[in-house]
Amino acid sequence: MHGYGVLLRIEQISRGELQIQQGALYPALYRLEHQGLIAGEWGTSDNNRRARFYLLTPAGRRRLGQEIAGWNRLADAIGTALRATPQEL
Amino acid sequence: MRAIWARVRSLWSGLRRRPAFERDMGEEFQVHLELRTEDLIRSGLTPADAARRARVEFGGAEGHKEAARAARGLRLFDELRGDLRHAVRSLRRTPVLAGAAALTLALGVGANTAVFSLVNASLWRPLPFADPGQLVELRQTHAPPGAEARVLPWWSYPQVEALQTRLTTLAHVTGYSVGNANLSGAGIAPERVRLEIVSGSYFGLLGVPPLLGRGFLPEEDAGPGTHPVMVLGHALWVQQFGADPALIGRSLAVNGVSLTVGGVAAPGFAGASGEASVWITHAMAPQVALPEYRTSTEYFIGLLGRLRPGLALAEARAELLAVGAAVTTALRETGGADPWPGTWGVDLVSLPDARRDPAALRSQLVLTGTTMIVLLIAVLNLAGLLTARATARANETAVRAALGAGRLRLIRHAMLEGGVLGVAGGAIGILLTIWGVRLLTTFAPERLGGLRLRASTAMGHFAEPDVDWRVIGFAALVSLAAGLLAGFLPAVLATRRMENPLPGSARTSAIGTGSLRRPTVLSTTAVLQTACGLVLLAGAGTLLRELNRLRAVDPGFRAPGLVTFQLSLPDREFGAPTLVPLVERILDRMEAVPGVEAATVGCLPYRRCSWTAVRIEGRPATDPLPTVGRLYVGPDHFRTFGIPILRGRALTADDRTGRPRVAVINATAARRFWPGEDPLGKRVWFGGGGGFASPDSLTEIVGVAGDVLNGPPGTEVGADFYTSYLQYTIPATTVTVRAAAPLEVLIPALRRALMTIDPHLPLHTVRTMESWGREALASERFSAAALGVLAGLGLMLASVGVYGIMAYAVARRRREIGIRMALGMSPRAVLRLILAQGAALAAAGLALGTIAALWLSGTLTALMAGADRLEPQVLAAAAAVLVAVVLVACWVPARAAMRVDPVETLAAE
Repeated sequence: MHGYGVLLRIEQISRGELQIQQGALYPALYRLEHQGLIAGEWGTSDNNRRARFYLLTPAGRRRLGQEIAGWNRLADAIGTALRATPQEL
Repeated sequence: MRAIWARVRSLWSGLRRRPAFERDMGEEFQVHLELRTEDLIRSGLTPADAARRARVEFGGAEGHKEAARAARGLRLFDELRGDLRHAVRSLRRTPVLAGAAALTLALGVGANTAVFSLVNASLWRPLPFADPGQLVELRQTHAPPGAEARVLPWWSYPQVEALQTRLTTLAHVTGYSVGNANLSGAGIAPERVRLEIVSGSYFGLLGVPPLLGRGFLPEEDAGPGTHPVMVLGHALWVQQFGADPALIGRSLAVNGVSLTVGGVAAPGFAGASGEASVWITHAMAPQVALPEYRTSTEYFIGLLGRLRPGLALAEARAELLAVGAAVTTALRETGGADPWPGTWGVDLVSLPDARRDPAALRSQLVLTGTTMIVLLIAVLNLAGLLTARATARANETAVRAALGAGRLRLIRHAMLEGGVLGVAGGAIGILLTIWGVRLLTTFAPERLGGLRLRASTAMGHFAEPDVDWRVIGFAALVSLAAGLLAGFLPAVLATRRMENPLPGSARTSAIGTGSLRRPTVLSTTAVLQTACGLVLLAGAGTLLRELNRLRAVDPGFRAPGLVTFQLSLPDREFGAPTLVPLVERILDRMEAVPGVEAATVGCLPYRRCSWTAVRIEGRPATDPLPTVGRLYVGPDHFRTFGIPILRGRALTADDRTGRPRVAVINATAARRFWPGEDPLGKRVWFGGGGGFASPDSLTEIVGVAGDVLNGPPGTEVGADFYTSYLQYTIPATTVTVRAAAPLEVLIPALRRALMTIDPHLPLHTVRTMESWGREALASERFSAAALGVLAGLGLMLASVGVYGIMAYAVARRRREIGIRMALGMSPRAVLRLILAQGAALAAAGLALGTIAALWLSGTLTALMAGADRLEPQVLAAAAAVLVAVVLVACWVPARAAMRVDPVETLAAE
């Protein structure tokens, strides 16, 4: 989907918790594209505008998996640390 | 790995389609804004409010664009491009300064690159044959008794034949020898050409097929006299025969022998020797060149081989060592007396390695080091210049820092100015290099410092320096590095005090010359430049002094009035008994020419033409026998050369075949073999092998002559034995004549005299003995000249640098000087002040330079054997010159300081 669509989706999924400065999205997208993790293509949007659509590449998919796993590990670790009762220490 | 590749691809596409990229990015942002605006309108805002809100939410578009460009890696390029444009603009505002700076660098780079081209030719440029790494050169080594082994890349034909059949590790083994020949026939005027006599496998081995026709086949050098074929060189074919393809199959005559033209060589191919234009096989050699070509045991044939694919050089070498020694020694001993006593060996080296001579490399390194010092002066010059500019622009730099430029960015910006100057200097430097290389090729001698500058191999020609891509690449690299380096130091210093960006008066503090306790950057560069200048001057002075010493060495004979020339005796008749009477008649005819006092044949001074082993009667034979120099001379030899006879008599015309054998020895021989005794009347045998048994071959010493240099001046004189060619029937072809008449009269008279004997007997290579003496010192003269030029260059650069720094310092200190003068300082005192500072600079430079010169003093021996010490007189002279130059360089700025008007400077406050 195109940049604006990504923005809307992020807002939608995080139920409005995550709101990014809209323009800052694009440098991030460009950086991911530079690293070959997403691929951009020109196409037509729903309202007949020429827009750039982004897709996840295989490399990007792999990287996404790695990042998710990393994030989960981090979350677990922090959660465990926070849940630690005085007896366990 | 794939990630890096993706980034590179993305960067490349961004750079390549930059305008499209920018457009696309703008369009993408635009679409985003439109979509957002529409959504906001749908949620109830007015179009105007929606548009404004959308823009606010988006944030600063330009900032995001910058971040996007950075994300694509384009920012660095943009910054560099901007900095570059700015650097060029600011340099163009001061064109004189920029021009002078570029020229300074160009001189340093040019000198360096010219010397590098020499090194390049020796080391890296590939040989013009197919797959030259697989080619090897076979050589003999010979160690005269008590001396170092020398490489002899020549063999005799019987040895070549034997090796060709025995060696299996080499796919081809081909011999080649070089000589001169007369080419005639097919309607062209007879021409003297350079001939190569080669094996049948020659063209196959070198892998350079002929342009037309064919080369030789392996069987074509088998039986003597068979296959009368020749190959013609390309240049000759074009010039003399108009590139006529019908020449193939026609006959030409080489030295009068009719041969069929079998092929034309490829353009630019000049054979293994690098100078041939006609090729014939060994089969035709006895007829065309020398009757005893195939049987003679003389060494004059070069031997090349090509390794079989898959075999290593070491295997071929081992085989040669095992097989070669036995084969070649057996062949050596046939033929009686051995004129080359000593230890023999064989060796095999890769052809590219054969070109490299470690001794020559040392001398090239010393030259390179010297040019590096000149470059250092240029870089210091440039650094000083850029420092001054940086300090003058301190405010501008401070403003940029305040606006957010990081330190790295500022340094990079400042370095770019140096880089631009470096590139400009390099471009000019390359032009200077081309000119310098031409100079070098004309003047560079074959030997440098007593060591071979051009490699000691049959293929010396390929070590000629030339400007190829490696040389240009070197120049570009050096100039860029020099420029960046020169820009680096000032850049670092200019951004040093970043924490206090806008000082009130950054003007007067760090510039000027400071003092000994607080040296500034500028004064340090000045001191270093003068130190380098001293090192160069000391080096040049040392070489000059040594050269003068060598020039003053007494050669042992009277050179003025001596003229030498070569007789062009027909090669085929060499060694025939008719030659001796012929030479005798020639000498008589020479002496009859008016103005001629005496004439002789024989080896010239400053070299040795042959050696012989000698055994003294009444003493046991030592093993190995002593080796001495052997000269076959005419009866008037000593009179012609003016060599004093110290004892006994000289050789006379009566000492000829049939009379008792006599010899005259030089003083060194007398000292060496008969110390404290009278050598007259003693008898010796010459040669090794069987000659010792017979009493008839005893030679009696009848005279002792003064020592004559038999090597370059500075080398020790060896023992020499003079015998008459009339007795020993080995006449040389070099004639020396002592005459009072001027050359223009003498030479034609000699030629006419020669023609009365034989009209087809030309004389050539006419030179005065004095010119031979100069040539004996050719490498020393070249070294001294080279270092002199470099020292002059370095001194000039250093003086310009010192001048610039002092001028700048004075200009910056105008206020201070004005105030001092207003407070009562006289103009003369100001002058003295400035000059004193200049003198302090010079003193520091002298001290540093002296230490460096002493430390480096031993390195000059690579160029001139005797220049091993830095003598106090030389150092003192160099110091005096340097101090004088520095003071002169300070004079103009000092006078400018004197003329500062205190009223004016105070009024400007």
